[in-house]
Amino acid sequence: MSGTLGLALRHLRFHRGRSLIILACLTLVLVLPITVNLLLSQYQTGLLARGAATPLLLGARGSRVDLVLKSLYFESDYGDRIIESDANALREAGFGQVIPLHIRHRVLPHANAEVARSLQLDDAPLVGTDLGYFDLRGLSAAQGSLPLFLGDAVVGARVAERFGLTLGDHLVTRPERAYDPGRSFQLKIPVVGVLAANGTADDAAVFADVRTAWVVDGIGHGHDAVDQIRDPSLVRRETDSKGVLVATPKLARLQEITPQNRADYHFHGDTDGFPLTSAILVPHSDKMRTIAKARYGSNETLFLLEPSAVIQEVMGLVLRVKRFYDTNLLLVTVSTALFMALVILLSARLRQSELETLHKLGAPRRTAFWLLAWEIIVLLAISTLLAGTLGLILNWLVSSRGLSLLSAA
Amino acid sequence: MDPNLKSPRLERRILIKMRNVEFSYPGENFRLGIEALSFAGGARIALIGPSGCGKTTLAYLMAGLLRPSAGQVWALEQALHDATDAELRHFRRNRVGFVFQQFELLDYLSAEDNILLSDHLAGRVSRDRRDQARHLAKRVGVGHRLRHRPATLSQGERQRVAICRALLHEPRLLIADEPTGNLDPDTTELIMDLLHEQVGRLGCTFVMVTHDHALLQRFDHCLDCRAVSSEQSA
Repeated sequence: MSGTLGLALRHLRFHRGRSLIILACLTLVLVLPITVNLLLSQYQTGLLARGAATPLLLGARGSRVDLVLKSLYFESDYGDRIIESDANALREAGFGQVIPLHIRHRVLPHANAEVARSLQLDDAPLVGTDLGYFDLRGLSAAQGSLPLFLGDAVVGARVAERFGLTLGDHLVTRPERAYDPGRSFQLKIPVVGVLAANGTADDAAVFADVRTAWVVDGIGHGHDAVDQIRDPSLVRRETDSKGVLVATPKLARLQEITPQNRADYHFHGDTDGFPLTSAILVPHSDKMRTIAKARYGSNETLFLLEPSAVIQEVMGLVLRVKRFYDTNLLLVTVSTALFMALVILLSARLRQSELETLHKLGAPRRTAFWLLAWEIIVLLAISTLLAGTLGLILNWLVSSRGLSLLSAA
Repeated sequence: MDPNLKSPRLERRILIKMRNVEFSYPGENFRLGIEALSFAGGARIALIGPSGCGKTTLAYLMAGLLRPSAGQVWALEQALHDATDAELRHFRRNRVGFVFQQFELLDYLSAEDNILLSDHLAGRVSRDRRDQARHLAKRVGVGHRLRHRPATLSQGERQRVAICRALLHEPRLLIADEPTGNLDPDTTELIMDLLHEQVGRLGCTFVMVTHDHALLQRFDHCLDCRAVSSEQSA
């Protein structure tokens, strides 16, 4: 290559140590803003899309943001609960389809269960819901089937990859408290399906029927039929006030729901009082949406939120923070520009005799400028390219390797 | 000196002509004054004199590198005193060859690319031009060193590369500013033979600044610059 660009490239190559140092400096300065912008853009798109795909959300009054993050991304410490009757009230009002969400427990591969008692092993959220959720999110099973029965679980694509799970493997619920066998109940859950990846938080979650989640809650359980048990230490022969045989605490609960014992599982108490984290309402029409929102607008204990509006608020906050970051970026850019100006100045001084020779030989006046300018342009172009590539790689790592805060890693 | 110079238009054979030229560096006491001076095309001129007497200044005035404070300078039928900066650069680039005492090769270019520097700056290096450069390098004895950078060449080789750079575009005026100042006697002889051979081959006018009186017999004219310069009192 000839011309001032060719000479600049030769000069950069000849002084490759200096060139590499400047390149590294520029790349490091550029990689952070590029990565942050890429991630923010991706988050914004993903958040808004997921928010828009969730029409209305019923939850207990409290933090609106926590409720949305918990229900859409299975994250946050949102602890307020609604009960099944709240969801039933929505159903009975005829506003639309109601999808229950129970997001309290976490699961891990059965093989890790023993170690997990004492160690903080990687796990995944267990989402108790119904089949309507899969329709709403457009989720389908890449392998196996959806969780049609009590005790079945389907795993998101990333969970399957992370834990190396296939059909027939088992998950086990994580005890809420280590070293507390009296309180903790671990249910062994078979994997009956693996969901096709859809690039959302669903990839990093495990789904089961909401009744399975209630079993993990301890509300429902299974055990041998008490009327057939002869051991008097397991069952008291006398009946309670309703004429039902009463089991003693010694009677062991089943640890796994199988096709053979599924019928032995039952729930005690009124299902209306069973807990849910939240419920998604898919209104039949805009009119129903408006009426439902109006009805719950004045409810003192429940929210009926539009998640997209909450996410817009969150993004507004994030973008306000980003403006501070942008101000900082401006200062970094100015300092980098000054640094580059210093480099040019020193370079021009070091190359004074060379530029003088070019002047004597009759090189056009602009030659000196372009010799120096091309070096800066080339270094900036390469460092931008490197920073962009690094940013894309980091972005890919964050989005595909579950490093995101909002991916329910 | 020739006080009877006529219009340059009428004297085609005269390649360098100066009339009533005055030159001084801003803030310095040095002053160069030339009433009239002319050299014919193809002449070989040595500029001699002690350091600071204005030899290089005079050579640079002839080459359009410096502009006179007053008076007129014609070189190769171009009025350098009236020329714009761009015209002077074009003149030097296309019609003048320079050889310097410090060689002034670019350290990051190979010998071949140094020879082709003008073409690189022009943004085009044709295959013919590259062949021409290689041929010239071979002729002056550095054909086998073309891929080397200046730092790995001997002093004599560097000067030969510099000579190739000066001659590649076949200038009509070759200015050599103490080209043997840094060379040992044997290499000096070699370089001088080379310069005169190439000047003879091209038929260009050759102006050389030198301190070495032993070389003067090779020149047609010898101008002692003490005769045209003075130190003004402060």
